[in-house]
Amino acid sequence: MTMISKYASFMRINFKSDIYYIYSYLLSILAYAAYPILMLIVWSSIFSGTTATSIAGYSPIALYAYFFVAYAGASMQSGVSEAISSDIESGSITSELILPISYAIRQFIDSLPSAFTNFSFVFLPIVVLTAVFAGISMSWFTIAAFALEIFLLFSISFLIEFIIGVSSIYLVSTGGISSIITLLTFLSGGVLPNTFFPQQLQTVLQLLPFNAYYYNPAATFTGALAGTALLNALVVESAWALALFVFATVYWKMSRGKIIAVGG
Amino acid sequence: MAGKINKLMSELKFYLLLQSYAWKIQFIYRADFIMYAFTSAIYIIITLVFVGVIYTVTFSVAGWSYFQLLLLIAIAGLGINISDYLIDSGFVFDVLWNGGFDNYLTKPHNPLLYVIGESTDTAAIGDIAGYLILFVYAAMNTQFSAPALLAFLILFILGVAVLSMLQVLFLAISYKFINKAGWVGLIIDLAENFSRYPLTLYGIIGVVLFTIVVPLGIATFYPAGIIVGKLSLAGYLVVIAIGVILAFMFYKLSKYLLRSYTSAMG
Repeated sequence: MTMISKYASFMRINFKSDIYYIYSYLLSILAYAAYPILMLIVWSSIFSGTTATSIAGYSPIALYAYFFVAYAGASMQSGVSEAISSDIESGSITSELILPISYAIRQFIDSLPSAFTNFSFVFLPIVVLTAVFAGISMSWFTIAAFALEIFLLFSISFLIEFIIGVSSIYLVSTGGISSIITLLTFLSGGVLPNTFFPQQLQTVLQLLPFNAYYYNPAATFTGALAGTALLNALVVESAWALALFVFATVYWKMSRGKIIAVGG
Repeated sequence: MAGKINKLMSELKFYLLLQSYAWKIQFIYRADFIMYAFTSAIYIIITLVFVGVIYTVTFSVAGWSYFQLLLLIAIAGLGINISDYLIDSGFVFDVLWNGGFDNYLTKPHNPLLYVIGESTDTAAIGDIAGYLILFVYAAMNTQFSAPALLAFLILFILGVAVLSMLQVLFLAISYKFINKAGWVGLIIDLAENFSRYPLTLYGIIGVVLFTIVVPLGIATFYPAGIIVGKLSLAGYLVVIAIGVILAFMFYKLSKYLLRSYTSAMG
């Protein structure tokens, strides 16, 4: 109980900090809605210049809905690697490690308030508005699958970010790795739905964890990912989440003994 | 006059010295640099795929052909990344916010130039190189005259200067009123995405927004327009005038807002 209350304190502090910078949240909404708005404008112009009613299986409305939900989902991504790298680079991790709490769990707990506020103020409003405007109705099974995908999105992004952050113990800078991962996630449905790409590339992307970031949640929402394909996607995502969890746990245990810090 | 020129030369020499230090530091992080360059290369490929997909279903976007749009994307990428190379807004804001600017005020050089010189983002060079290749590829498939290229260069340089001054102004506004600088990068990133397409796509509001309010168009859309023959001479001169006025205004306003800087270090 005492342990839970300790972590709860961190959560409370972070939540207050998030709410304090309310302008950042208003800007976040703008940021997450801006790219879909851009795509709406670009693809409206493209659809108006062609007789095709759908492209790569997407009608104009479905395509716009895809982009809005994909980018709302992006608000649920964790950005913990920067905080861990900063702790390691500055040496302040030594002060963190002597606290009577787990550093790894602390990072997870620290991420939750942001995830909660992003979910409440960015993700949910965008998804609900998109469903209303695009006239999308989902079965209970699809809603459950969609909710699970959002949970897996947060979990997978947190674990990948955690692994990158811990890599700071071995690397001088992790900026390069982070940028490659960001690009891979962007490739996995951030630029266009995967169905726009050649079949071979789609197959490779389906096997990687990065589809969890943009494509799977947005395609589930629009109905492009359904039935067996949806179940397969959930299995692949869950397997990746589990594998990343095991790897992150082992990697952290192996690496924390190698921390060398001056000052802090 | 001679004294002013000497002072200017001395500041320029000092800035170049800071550049050489920034590059020396970058070469310590070689692996990181290679990964950034690799990322830039993949991003350019993604852009080519994206534009390729668009042009499989249409012949033009707002009247721009495939190579014309590639040219616009390349120019937008070049303009914004050169500006990013020159100023790392997050770094400069941290210096101001943490009171570290005091150190710069004690040095016998222009303090703002000093901190901006130290904030050089050398990692942006990968993107600059990538977009330069894209520019050459698109330009080789676009017809334009030598005077158009010269006019392009003049407007592009002015546009990058306006963009850099805009970043400094945003920083000054952050420092004075908002206490956070994350939004500067955010606004620039958003505007970057929008400036990759013809501004006419966004209607009159978009044209005004990206020409005067967040004038990325001066470094992106209009220079591309002059190369592909979509901007008249009169339009060109108007854009030049707007650019000069905005650069001057941004400079004066930034200087005024930064007067409120107060020491925070002991």
